[in-house]
Amino acid sequence: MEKQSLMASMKASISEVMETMFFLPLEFEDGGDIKEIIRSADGGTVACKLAFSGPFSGFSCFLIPVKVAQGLTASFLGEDIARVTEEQTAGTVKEILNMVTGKAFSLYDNQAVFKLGIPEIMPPTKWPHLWTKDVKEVMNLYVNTADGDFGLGLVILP
Amino acid sequence: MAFNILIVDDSLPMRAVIKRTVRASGFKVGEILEASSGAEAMKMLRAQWFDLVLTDYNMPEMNGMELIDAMKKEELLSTIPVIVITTEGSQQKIAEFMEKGAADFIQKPFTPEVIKQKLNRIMGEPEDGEAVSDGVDEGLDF
Repeated sequence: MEKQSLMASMKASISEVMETMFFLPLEFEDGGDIKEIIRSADGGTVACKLAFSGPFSGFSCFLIPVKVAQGLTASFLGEDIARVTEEQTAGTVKEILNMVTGKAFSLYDNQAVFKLGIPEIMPPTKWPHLWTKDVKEVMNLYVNTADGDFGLGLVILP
Repeated sequence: MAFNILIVDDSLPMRAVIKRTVRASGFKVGEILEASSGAEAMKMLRAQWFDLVLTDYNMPEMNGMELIDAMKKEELLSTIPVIVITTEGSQQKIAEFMEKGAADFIQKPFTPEVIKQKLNRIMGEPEDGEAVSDGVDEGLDF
């Protein structure tokens, strides 16, 4: 597993998903701590996890303030933000993580087959699972957008 | 001729986005119905005729390929074209979709233009006067 190449694929994937499906330009903040999303979010955070297996295995995760997630959902569905439901927001967050992870792997190596699990929303009690110490590699990306910041991580397990 | 289309995806927002995109694609669409699982899709396919199925690949219990397998086992359903919508980008997986009988695939993230191209390829170009412009009227900005 080539970390630099995988990181570049993750960045390209996030940019493509957010720009194609949400018309949302973004910038990556080098050295940003994605746990800061939880600390700074006004109104709570949504966390989502997606397990994968293949040439290497692990999970990807997505941390996004609720208000930012609601804005993205409204944009995705063409709905007024006031009418966006919790179910729609959760579905959009899961779909973003699914698209970002799948696209990143296809950019990283389109000859390899990665099996993606089903994205799951993580209740706060399970967030510590996202920071497991028993890892081979962790890659975190802190993303700045005009609508607010969010974080994506890729955790490779031994 | 108006086409009846079935959208199969466990993601509620994605079903809504695909539905809007198809409506704006320029085809004379009859009914566009939604199923949230492969099993629900099979029930709906047995109950009424659809001209096209657009299915997600990665779904719990019955994935898109398993849905195609199930449809191929039933004579009436085996002729309905199925387009697989997927985040999968591996050449091997795409070859597998086509080998199993998918009419085509769409990789996420997609643009409305990609959906339109695939529908054109599978269902034929819309006739004159059937186009509903470029989707602006449908608020098609994802």
